[in-house]
Amino acid sequence: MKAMSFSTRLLLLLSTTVLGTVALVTWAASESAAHSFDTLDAQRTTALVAQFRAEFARRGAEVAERAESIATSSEVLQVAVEANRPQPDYARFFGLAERLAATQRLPLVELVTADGTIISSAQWPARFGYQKEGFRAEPERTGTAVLTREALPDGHTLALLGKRPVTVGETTVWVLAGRPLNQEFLDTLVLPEGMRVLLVTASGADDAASGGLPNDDLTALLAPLRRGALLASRTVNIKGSEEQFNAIALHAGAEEFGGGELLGALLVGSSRAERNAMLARLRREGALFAGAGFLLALTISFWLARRVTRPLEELAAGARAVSAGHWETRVQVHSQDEVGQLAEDFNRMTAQLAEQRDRLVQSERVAAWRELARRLAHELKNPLFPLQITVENLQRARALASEGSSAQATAQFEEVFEESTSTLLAELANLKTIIGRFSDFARMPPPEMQRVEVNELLRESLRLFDAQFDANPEAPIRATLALDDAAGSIDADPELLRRALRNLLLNAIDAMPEGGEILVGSRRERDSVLLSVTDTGTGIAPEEAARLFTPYYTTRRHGTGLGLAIVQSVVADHKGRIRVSSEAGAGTTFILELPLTQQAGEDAH
Amino acid sequence: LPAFASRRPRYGGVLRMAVENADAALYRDPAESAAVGHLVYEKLLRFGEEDRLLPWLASDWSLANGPRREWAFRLRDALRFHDGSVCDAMAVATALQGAGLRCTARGSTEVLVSPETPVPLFRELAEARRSVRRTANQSSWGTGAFRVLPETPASDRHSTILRLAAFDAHWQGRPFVDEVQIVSAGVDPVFALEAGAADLARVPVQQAARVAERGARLWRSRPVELIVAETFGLSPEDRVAASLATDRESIQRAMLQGEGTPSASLLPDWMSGYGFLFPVAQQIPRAREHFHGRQQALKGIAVLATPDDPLLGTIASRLALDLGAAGLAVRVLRASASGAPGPSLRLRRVRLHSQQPAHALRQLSTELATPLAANLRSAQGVYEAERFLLAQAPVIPIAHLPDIYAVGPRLRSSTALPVDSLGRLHLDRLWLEKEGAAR
Repeated sequence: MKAMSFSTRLLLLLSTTVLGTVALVTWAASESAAHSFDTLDAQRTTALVAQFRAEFARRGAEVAERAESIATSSEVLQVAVEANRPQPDYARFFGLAERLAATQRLPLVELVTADGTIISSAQWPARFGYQKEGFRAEPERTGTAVLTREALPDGHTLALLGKRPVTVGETTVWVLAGRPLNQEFLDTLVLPEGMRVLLVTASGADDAASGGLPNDDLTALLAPLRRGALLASRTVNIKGSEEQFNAIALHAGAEEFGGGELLGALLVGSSRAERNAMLARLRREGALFAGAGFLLALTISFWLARRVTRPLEELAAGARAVSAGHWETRVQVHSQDEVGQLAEDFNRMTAQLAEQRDRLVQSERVAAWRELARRLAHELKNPLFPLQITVENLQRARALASEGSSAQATAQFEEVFEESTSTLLAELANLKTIIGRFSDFARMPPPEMQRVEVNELLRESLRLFDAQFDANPEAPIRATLALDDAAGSIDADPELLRRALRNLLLNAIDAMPEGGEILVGSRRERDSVLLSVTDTGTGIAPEEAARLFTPYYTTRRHGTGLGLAIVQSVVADHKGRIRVSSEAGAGTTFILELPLTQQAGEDAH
Repeated sequence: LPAFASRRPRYGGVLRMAVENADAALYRDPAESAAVGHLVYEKLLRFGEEDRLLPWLASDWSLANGPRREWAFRLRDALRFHDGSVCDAMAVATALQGAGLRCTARGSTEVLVSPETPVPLFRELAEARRSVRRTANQSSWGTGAFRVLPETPASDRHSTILRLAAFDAHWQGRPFVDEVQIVSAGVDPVFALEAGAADLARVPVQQAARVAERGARLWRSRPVELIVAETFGLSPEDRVAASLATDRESIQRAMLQGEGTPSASLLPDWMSGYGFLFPVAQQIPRAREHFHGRQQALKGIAVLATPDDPLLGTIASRLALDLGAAGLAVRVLRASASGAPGPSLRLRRVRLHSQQPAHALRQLSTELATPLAANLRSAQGVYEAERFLLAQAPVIPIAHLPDIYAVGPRLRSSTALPVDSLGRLHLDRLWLEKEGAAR
């Protein structure tokens, strides 16, 4: 994975710090605001429920009073009198409940016999003669009204009902009078802004219209109440707007908030619009701050990165330039701090490096000249000594011939002369060869590139040495080719390449005086071809390997030290590389890596 | 005697009659109104009590001499239309020809009528649709005791349904009151009467007992208005079961406050004489037995309550309860005449226009769009025809209602009951006492 840059890390660090801080502050502020809103909602709900209870009690007293008025009216007394007849006929009282309801301004008025038969009903006149569901002929406490559930033609409603007996003789007729606990009742409550109250029956089935509250939510809200809870809460989403509902259980009987059967619930809805708007505003502002902080972090990190990393980048570029051989590279010193100190040290280091390199080059140059001189002296001394001996022999033979003046002496002189001149010529030829080799190395021609079949070139080069491999039966050399068919052709000067291979093969033969094995191979890489020459000779010591390609360096007694230097020169001219691996006593392998095309070699370099 | 003198007819005054909003349609157009049409438009003959035919515009008749069987009707003298034109034989013949009869004028006082169908000619001539009227310029004039006043004062336009003025040139002499105003009084016309805003009020039957309790005089017709539940999407068997489930007696006793008659037949018992053969007792167990397997087919069944007819609304609610007791889950919908998508029942009033069972059955057959069995000549034939009609027509009879009028203290009548069996008011026989002389 690519390492993250300093500026990126700096940006990340600053951004994370800023964003984290803003997020933390926003979260804390949101939580605090939400808590405040929730607390306020709870307080307002409590106040609303208290208001509801007060209104419930007030209306209950009013209903009880009006039910009492109905029960004591002469019309109801007539009904009670009729009830005492052996076969009472209540038909004429059919409309009585409606009239009483109108008089007392109570929407719910029913007259019921002791066995629950409806004599007259204001809210559902057609129920005349039917049984009143759930009716019990038991009086309620005087002056009170009870919470109950009343059947209406179009469903059920919660109702506040006064229940009064009217007894004449042995018979009792019951007056049930009251008013529904409906929206009209709720409208009398003073609601804080954003709050509303709803009433639902326990069945919930006919309450779908309750303020658009979805049935599923209503069921979920009522479920805890059915299990006996007195309060349940739920956040409901109605047409995209959140509302917090608190459901307060309403039970049958005088104590509407506990006791009898669960009849319904008072739902106190509190719009979360303001709360959510506040939270959304906080989040929005948080996001704005975060955005601004991010931009600030970006700017600061950019500025800091520029300030800190620019010298470092310059240093890195300088280091890269130095590694590429530009020893004179210097970086600008921008400051006096640690980075500035580092830049100064870098400059000092490169200056020292350049100085040392110059000294090294100079010393190497001197050493090379010394070596050259030593090699030249050594190479030239060898033939010069026989020359000197031969000339001295020739002088001595001439002196002997002149002293003897005899034909024999002359004949001996001639013989010595002939022998000496041939020796002189041979040594002079030897000298010439030595000089030619030095001259050849000095005059390495530039390569003339053409497409060359690598494997064919290897075969040809090896074939030249066939006779030499078999020359010494005592020390036979076996040559093996391990060629990669995919090696193909490369851009190369075939003559120079043959020369390099010849030198490598000669070295290999020289390394195996006792005979051995030579392995010549090729292998295709992605953009290059590898040529290898491996011998099973004596190998090269590590300290020798380091100087192997230095001109005039040789490990052999009679070598010029130019062979591998020539190989390296050829490979370098082909933009290739040469490697050597060797193990003392086990053999040596030279590997030439040559680019497929000179274009590829240039790219690689 | 002072008492006798105070009851002598008095001419003059405006008679105001208050009716329920729901009844306004009965009076709005005299040409179509069975209640007041006879006061504006008259016929050659008319039905009297007990359905007897009486001479009216024609004073007498005889078979004409000639090759064809024609009846010659002699007109009364001095007949005039409300526009003042003379109503002679030519005008009558023209009017009757327009009503589809073949007739000609003979002289100025005789109209020759040729019967074309087996229908008794004299009954035809007594039907409302054979009234004598003169039509010109999109106006229609009759010869009756009252003429229609076209103009209505702007202030009363929203409440006045019809104004009738006394026709001074009526052949019987002008009626007692100068003008009759029929006004709409919301849902409580009796209140208008008790408040002195009306002299006569058409009383909703459910209020009659209470009005009577308060001492008001009531004029009742015989039960001539049939309340039926029209059924939609119910099989004949469902209809029978629904009929058995209906508690007609409770409806009549409580909702109708004892007025009218509970009825499971189309014709009232007083008219047919066989109404008792159609039992009205509620039989919930039998109905429940039938509906036991029909809940799915009748799922969502509704009873439609007409919003502007409180009585029918209450009865609809009761019908729903009764069907509920028989095992059906029934909704009550406040719906207009458009009906409901599923099976439903809708209550409707049907007014009978004839005292003759056969004629009444023909009328019902037409109104219920159900053909009749042919033979209506014998009482047995009429009974069987009604059975057939009841089996075929998608209706359940509930009750027959009378027309009931509450009478104000100033209003007097020259006859004991100025409402005939079919509920027609004879306003021409009424007069108003002077203010303050009523008590």
